[in-house]
Amino acid sequence: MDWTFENVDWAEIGVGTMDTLTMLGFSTLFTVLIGLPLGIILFLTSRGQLLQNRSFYTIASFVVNVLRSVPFIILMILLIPVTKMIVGTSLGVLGAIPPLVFGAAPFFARLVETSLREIDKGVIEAAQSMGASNWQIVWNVLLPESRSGLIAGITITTVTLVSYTAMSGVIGGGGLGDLAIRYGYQRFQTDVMIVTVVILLVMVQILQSLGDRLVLKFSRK
Amino acid sequence: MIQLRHLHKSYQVQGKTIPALTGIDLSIEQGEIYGIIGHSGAGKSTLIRCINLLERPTSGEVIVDGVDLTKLDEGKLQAKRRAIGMIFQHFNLLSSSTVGENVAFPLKLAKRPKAEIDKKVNELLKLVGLEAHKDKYPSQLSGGQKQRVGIARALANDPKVLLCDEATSALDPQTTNSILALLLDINRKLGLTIVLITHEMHVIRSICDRVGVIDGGKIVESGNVLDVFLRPQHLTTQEFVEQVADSTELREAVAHEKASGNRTIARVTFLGEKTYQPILFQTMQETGTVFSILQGTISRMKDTPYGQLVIELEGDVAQNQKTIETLRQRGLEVEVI
Repeated sequence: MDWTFENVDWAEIGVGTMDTLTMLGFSTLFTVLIGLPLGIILFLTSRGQLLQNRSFYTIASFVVNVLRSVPFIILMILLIPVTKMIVGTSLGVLGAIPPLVFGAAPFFARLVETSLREIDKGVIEAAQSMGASNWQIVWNVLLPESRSGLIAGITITTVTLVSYTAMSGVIGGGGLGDLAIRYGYQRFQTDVMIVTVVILLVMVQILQSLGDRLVLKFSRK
Repeated sequence: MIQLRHLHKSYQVQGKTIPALTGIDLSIEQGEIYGIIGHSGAGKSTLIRCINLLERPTSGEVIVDGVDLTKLDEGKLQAKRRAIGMIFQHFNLLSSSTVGENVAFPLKLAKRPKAEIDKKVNELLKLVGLEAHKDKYPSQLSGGQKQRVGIARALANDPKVLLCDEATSALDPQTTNSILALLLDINRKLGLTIVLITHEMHVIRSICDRVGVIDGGKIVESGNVLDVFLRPQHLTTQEFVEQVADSTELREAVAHEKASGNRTIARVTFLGEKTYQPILFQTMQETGTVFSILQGTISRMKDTPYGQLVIELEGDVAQNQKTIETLRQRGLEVEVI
């Protein structure tokens, strides 16, 4: 074991960290933009809810489950043609974002559905009794009432995305994972591996404690 | 104000049809407090939810303020629901909003201007006595305070009708009384029609003008609270009356007295002003009848005082008969048991 970190090119680590953060930022953004409405629709169409629709729910639920059950590394490879279609390349930071979103959005949608289920049905009923439209119920009841659950869900999803971004290094996704694989794994430069892992670890710690703090701040129970 | 006609509601549970309401006909007048009492599972919760169509009846008409709600489309129904406030057993407040925001909520849904909302919220919080708690969250309030927020919220759109779904069932007796007093107060101040469902006789007796007893999805008895509860006909009604009278003990006493000889036992009912007049004493003195009291209640239903005494007359049959006739002539109700 070599503790001098002689193989570590700190400039490259810096670029890798920035790339990872970029992937993380955009993939989280799009995951929430797609997963949140999807989760709300799953919730609303499930049994006993406002837009109860058995066939729609069954199909949507099946698709979500399929996307969630394919291991991310396989999903990434399967999605290469789709990724090329969406962003023009399947490589680098840009090429990593679509598979990250495809992998994480269904996961996040389930978390959204679960936290909406936590809301007391009586509160929805009360809003209906006041003449609220379905849209008003989503906007003024479901979202604010599940706020802390949603923040916790976003935190979990982001942390999952950190490890996904590292995996995307395998198919040339860029970022810290890419460095870890190219130097740490293929060239046996363990020191590079250690540095990237420590940076990822710090990232996850910061994200989680930030998320926890926000959940606490918005919790009114 | 509210007419329910031939209301039926049934649920489909695992392929089977479970009837919840089987032909409800009910008419509730403007400004009255109408109570519906029933055991759990009798259909009272379904019934009150049918009035604002939170539950859509399988068939029948729900006419509120002259409009049949079952014939309205979704948008019109939503507008109409704003004229029907509702409060709930478990309050159903938004936990993520403050007391003030909760009360403002229906006004926000109705897209009222902010200045108007602020003014109205302050008025309502004053009405229910919660001005000091405006910026608290529901989790910081007691049960009674939460229900006051619920009431303020239900009144925000100046509704004509207030539906109370077991509004006091989760509260302790003292808090129950303060909430009942508040409901009576707003009924009088605002001329609001109130429909409430409950399984507690106490609630009916304290504030209701009329009552319907529901059992097995049907109204089995209805009328003025006094008439229904002083002379209960249906078994379910009798059971509810027993909640507040110690009828079991009375039955034992009657059985015991009857076994011990040929005596006359009678239930004497006083109403209104007569409750406080010494009619019974005077009559007994005149006819010279000796009597003993087996059981007695002096109480009031809403504003009407009433008394009910079960007495045992110890004279001979002819004398007892004469005494009973005299009591009846003087306006008391006498029923020989």
